[in-house]
Amino acid sequence: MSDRHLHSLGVFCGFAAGAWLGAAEAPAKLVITGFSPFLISLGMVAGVFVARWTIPMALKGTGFVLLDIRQKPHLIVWAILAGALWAVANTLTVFAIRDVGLSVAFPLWNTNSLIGLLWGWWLFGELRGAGRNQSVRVVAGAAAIVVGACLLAFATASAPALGQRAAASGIAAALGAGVLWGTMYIPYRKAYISGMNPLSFITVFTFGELGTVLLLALAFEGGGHRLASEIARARPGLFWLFLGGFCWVIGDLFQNYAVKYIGIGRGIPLSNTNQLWGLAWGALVFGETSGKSILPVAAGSLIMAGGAWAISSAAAPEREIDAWSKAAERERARYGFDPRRAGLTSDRTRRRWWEFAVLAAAMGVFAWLASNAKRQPIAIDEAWAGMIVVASVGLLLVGAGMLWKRTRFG
Amino acid sequence: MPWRAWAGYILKNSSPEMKTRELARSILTDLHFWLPAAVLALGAGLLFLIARA
Repeated sequence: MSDRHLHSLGVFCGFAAGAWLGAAEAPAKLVITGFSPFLISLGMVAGVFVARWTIPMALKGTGFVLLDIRQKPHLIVWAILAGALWAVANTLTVFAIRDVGLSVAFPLWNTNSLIGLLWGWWLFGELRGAGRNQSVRVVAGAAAIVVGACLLAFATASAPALGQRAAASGIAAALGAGVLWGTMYIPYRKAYISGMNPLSFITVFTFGELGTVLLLALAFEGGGHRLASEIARARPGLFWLFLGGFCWVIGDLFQNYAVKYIGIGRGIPLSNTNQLWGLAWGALVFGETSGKSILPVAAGSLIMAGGAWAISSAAAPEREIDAWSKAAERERARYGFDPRRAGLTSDRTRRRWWEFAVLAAAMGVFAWLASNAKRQPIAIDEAWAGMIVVASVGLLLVGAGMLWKRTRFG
Repeated sequence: MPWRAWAGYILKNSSPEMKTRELARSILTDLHFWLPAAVLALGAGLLFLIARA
């Protein structure tokens, strides 16, 4: 397939990731009050872990995933590292929102795309040989998305009254989360230039993620008994956290494919358009912007859309692709594998009976939690919610169709 | 010990051309490993300070 086709596929995956990562924020809004940051983080990550055994496993099957991991087993270390980075960053964001509010915290951790851009350039040859025109589009586009996110966050959220100490700790937490998330893309990119499939990487990633967040919850919630009673107390709201985790899995898969096909520097800013989708959920479904000025919202959205357009039009030229290939060659030489090695054949994607049993069990967990869920006392515009869900599902279907047709989810 | 079995699996199943120690050395001398590991340690430390404050 031509580089241009892969670029357009990566760009589409970046936008689809934005929609689903934005949707992941919506269910969490329903249960944000009354629970500790560790419990909220644990609930979402448990949802991610269970969701991992539904759609992604159905796409490729466990046989394929295990063989892929077996061919590059050193990447298990990086997948677990990435999961741990995500878990610590996610918990820091919950503290940041608690201490300084979303309006201050979001722009600070949204700098993750700039951190990712730096690592992509330094470690993986991204933008090397890209020429001034392409480089300016990517860097300015990423900066525009951060500026747009700042405007949107200031326009749509209100900061709590800050004590000096809470403000300092909230800002430190948000900045720390940005650095951790930006750094998490090092393992992502390393895996994909080695030829690993995103579905395989995410499988190991969720173990690192769940293990870390469980460790954090046990350490800070005062042990297993206390944690179990807190989970029991939170049960009516757990479904919403799990649903957020489910949306996150889809968004993160698209994000991983974006990183695979267009790199960190381009893929991450595009998936950070999740703020626009978060805004759509907040403003249209939850009515968060009523009584607030529309001007900064419109300006922030336009700036963000302009930044996304600039990045999506900056396809990597041949010289930059050569620099990517050199980074891949470094991996091959260092770890002694052949990225073109055959072996991931169609018989490896054949499903076994127990995979369907695992799938049914994972869906059963969601159904059981849904039967225990209580509708939260929040007003929702159901018409807008329906429209956004249809748009998100549309992006999912088109994106999945493109991935299947062009790469067979490769 | 499960972690020993896991480490053994990684080392045994990497490229057949690579020796065990060579692979371990490759990981432990890789900046791509130490950079995220250092950031993770700093982030966990920051989280500990904020949560205990």
